[in-house]
Amino acid sequence: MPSRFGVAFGAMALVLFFLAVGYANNLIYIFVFFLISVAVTGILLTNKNMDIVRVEGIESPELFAKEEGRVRVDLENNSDIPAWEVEAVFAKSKDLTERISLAPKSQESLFLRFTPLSRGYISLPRITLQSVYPFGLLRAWKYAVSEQKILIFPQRRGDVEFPVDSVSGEGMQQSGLFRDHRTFQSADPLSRIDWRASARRQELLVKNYEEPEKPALSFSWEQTAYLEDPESRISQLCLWVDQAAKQGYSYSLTVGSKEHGKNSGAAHRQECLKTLALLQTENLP
Amino acid sequence: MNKKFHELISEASKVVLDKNVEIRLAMTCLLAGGHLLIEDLPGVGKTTLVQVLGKLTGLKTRRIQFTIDLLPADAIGGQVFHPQEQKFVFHPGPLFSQLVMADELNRASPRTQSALLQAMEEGEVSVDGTNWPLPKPFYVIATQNPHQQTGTFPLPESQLDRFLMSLELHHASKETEVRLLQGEDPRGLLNKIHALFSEGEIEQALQQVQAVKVAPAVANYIADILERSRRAGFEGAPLSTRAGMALVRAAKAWAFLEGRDYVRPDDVQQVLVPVLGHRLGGNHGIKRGREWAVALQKATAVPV
Amino acid sequence: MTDRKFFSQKALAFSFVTAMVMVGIEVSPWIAFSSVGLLIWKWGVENLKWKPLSKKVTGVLSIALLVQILLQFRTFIGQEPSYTFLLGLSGLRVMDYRNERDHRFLVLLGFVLVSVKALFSLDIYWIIPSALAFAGLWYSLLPGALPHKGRVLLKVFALSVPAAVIMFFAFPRVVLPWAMSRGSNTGQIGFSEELNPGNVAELAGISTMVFRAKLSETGIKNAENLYWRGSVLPYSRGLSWRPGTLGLRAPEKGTEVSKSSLYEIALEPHSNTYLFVLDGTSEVQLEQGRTMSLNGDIYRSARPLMTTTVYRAKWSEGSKDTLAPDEDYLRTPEMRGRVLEWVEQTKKDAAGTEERLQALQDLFAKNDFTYSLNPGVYGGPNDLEAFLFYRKRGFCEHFAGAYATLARSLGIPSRVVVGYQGGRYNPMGDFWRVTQRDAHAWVEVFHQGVWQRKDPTSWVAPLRLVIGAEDFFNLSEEDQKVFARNVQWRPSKDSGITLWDRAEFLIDDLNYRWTYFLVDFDRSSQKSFWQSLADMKLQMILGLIFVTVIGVLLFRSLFRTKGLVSEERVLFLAVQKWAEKRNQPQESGETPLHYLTRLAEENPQQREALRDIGHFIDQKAYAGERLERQSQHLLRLWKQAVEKGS
Repeated sequence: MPSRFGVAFGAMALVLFFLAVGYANNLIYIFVFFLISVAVTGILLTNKNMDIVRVEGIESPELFAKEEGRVRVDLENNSDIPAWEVEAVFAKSKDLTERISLAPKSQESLFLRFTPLSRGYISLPRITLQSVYPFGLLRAWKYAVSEQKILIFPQRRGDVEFPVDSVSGEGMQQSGLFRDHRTFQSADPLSRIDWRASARRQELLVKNYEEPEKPALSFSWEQTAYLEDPESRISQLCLWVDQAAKQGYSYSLTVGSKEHGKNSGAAHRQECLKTLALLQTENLP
Repeated sequence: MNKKFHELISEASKVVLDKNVEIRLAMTCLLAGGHLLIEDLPGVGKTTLVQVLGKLTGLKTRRIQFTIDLLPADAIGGQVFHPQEQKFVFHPGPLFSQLVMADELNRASPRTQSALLQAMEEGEVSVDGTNWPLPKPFYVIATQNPHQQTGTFPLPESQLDRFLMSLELHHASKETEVRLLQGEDPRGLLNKIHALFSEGEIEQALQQVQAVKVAPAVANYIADILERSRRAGFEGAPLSTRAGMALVRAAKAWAFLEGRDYVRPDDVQQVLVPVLGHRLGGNHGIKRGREWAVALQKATAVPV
Repeated sequence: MTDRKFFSQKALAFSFVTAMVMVGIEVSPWIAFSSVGLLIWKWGVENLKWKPLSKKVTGVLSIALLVQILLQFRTFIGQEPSYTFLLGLSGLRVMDYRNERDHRFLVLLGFVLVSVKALFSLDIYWIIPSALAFAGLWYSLLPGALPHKGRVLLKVFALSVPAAVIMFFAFPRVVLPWAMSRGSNTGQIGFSEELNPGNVAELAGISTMVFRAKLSETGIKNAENLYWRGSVLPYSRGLSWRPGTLGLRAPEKGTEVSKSSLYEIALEPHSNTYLFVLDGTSEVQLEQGRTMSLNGDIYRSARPLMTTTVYRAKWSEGSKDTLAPDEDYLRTPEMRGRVLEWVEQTKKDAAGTEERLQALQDLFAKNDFTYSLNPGVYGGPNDLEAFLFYRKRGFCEHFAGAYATLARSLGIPSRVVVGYQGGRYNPMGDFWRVTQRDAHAWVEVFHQGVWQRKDPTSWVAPLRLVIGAEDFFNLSEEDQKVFARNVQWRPSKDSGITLWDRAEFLIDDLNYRWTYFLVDFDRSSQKSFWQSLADMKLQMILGLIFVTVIGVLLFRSLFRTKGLVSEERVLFLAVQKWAEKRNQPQESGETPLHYLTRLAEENPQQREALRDIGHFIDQKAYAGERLERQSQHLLRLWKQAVEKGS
């Protein structure tokens, strides 16, 4: 598909051609023919350039609804020649990525900005890979369609503060792992003095914990009852889970019949968010 | 230097039958200066393997059997009051040796596990506000029961990262079993072998391993592996850069055992599954992780 | 998007400025200078922080430009206004240059400028700057981050040449009659159809080339005999002469002159219709219907000659105009003063035409006339008297004008012929080069039934005719005066052709051939080209296939960038390709070394080579050994091994 510049170029070549015909000027003929054949060679190169680029996969990191994320398109050049200046764009969008060049036998990735509108499994809009190398006369393109549906987590929205009833009493101090002792400072609470150790060393020692002790949090659907809209409730839970994971709490999530026990780590967060993303709200109180 | 290690491997194979690959990998792990995690059912020769290695390398070997009621102090040691001198003296626990076999690590409480892993990471322990350095070299070979067994506390993901490699010991083949059944008790054989290394020799080898070269092509390959593990559609946990560095260390050690001073992608592949298995598996267990590691290796093209 | 600077886009700036300058020297100075002014301004804006013109101002200026063109030319259609507009627009667009779009617009404009230049001149000298500008414009289109841009462009050009050549030769030429007639009314300074005193002298000061002529068939070797007719002036005003209607010549009735030969003239464009021919020409062959043959043996083109034109003419020695003149050819203005005295006296003294002609010759030969490029201005009621009897300084047109007027007043029908005399012979290309310096005027008198040539200059300054205008005018004025009648004298310079001359001849010859090729490649020669193509059908088809194959191979090989693939990879890829053909592909995730080992086991014939390659890859890629130049050797060995195996 010729670019706008390509169309303009064609028009100009035509004008020059008529000039040549009109004045029967062979020098202009030579000039025009050379111009055209360079352009055609350029166009062949453009197609060849795009031909060798292959889409290896389309991948999205965590995407939250209504938040801008970056979708990665993995490109592969399996040929012996480099592919130049490839860019990508979503269908019906004008937001072009930067242009990359692929060395022979290499893989590169392009990052497309993408803002999903709703949670759950969605399919990505069609991605167009294109290049106008070398002269910008022609835009050669190729579609990349991801067959897999991708999971969009709910929008993170609501109150950042954790609900009051999420902190369960147990494990206030035990959850942190004992690390070592340090000498007592006047601001330390008396309850933290390790009397046994202090007796041995003839100075007051305070227990140091590996991590600042954090209570385990438990989130549940019922905690968000004050919100009317089910989607807002999901968003609120999503925000809490995300915040809890970020701040290193261990937490549990209970929504309807689904229950994720107390745990921490990336996998746990993933599971919780997935549950929220796919939540059907009809059957919930 | 590596001749001695080959001798060690062949000696060890005489005692621990049909476990050539595992012995070699365990040796690689030691040469890379990393800790080893062995997962399998009891009675497949885990303990023997460790004992043989300890004996042959001449490292001071201790064994700690982890149980649910084992306290951190039981492994690390503690302050004991000396009535004569009227003061507390630190009594080092079994952890203060060069080769520690932490048997059935996942039976211990998370707290005790944590204490051990802390020591592994830092090479020292702190008791009552005083730091006590552990001897050098310091290796932990931990064994753990398969995931599903009851009464276990699975190691958290972050702790698993502290082991350089994980191995699976499988049951011996039938022929080996026949030989074992009619032959000598391996524990008897154990008494006949002698240390092959004198003090300091292992550490010297460790330094040589560090000097093994890694070409850009090989580093590229490892980076590709890491990158691929982070792609969508790959089931295992995404690999960290630390995992990549572990892979380099292990590959260097393997190359050293092969008698080379540079790493080939082939070396990387040899150690790929043991190094990445437990990291990829995460909460899903080492067995799954190993399957994913194999898939990862298959999926990643090796650059020339 | 960040702003782009025009002058930091070196390729674009260079080629665009070149193109502008090339066209700029051909159009009115005001637009040329204002465009250059805009360029300098833009440079100042970008480098010295001058105040730029806003888009609004340039927009207003564009409109002003259109208005000015309308005022100056009263039309937008036609060459002159369009070039002016083109150049003005170029300057303004450079001023506006800011982003990618402007860049592309300028590139297109640059292409137009370069090709428009070809309308003015086909000279080969312009090919170099044109080609540079052309390449530069393409170069500037390549993406900025691309490495080896020059090489890529060179490859693209190399690949484009065959297609361009084929198109050039194969494309049918159509002549659009309506397009040709659009000539500009203002011609170049040059030959005009009026003979005012000083007119030819003015021309003779210019060394611009008028035409080149190939005379090899005619056998003329001497510049003295080359009289190029341009026009005939029948109306005498005394010293000056005016053109008049000559009328179309009636078709030739009598038999052709037995011995005639063809010669060729390549005429530079001069916006007029003159077709210069050698004295003694009986027929001019140009395109059908484009030539007009007029009385007085002169020829015109039907349309102004806006482009270089090549035509052939038939010449035979001794061919003379025999058309009898009418009364008009005796008409003169009234004779007065000493002129009248002289005429009356001569009429009395010499009765016959022969005697009268002799008297006229004596008048010029025996009085002390000076032949000079700077004769001063003649005017007043009796300029003839002033010239003949007082100042006695003149250029050829003065002598010719005076001679013809006197001849008429003596009763001999006569006319002035203007054109060129002589030329410079180029031994390399075997052609004559006639420049404005060779401008000349002479007289023809009707005597004994034919028009006879009389050249008063040959009596006043014969040296001018013998050594040619160029050498003659290179003499100092003193020398011209002293040696004018000394036919044997030669200017003191190295005899023979100097190296410089040789180079000049060579370049001129090249230029001639180029122009000739371009101009002469018209429909007829294209037809013959196709004809010859049809004759050699088979060979041509084979040739074409050959060219295509070469083209495809070139395309494939030129873009294989070996430098980007490491040596070991090249080797490995070679093996891989071979093995894939044998159905032994590399397994997914298999290391190269393992693959090679496996192949070595499976293919005993190539085992050695595979081992060597494996070793090389191992050492080079992994062990970091610097094994340069070995891969070539290995590749050769590998090829041998493969051949041996198959």
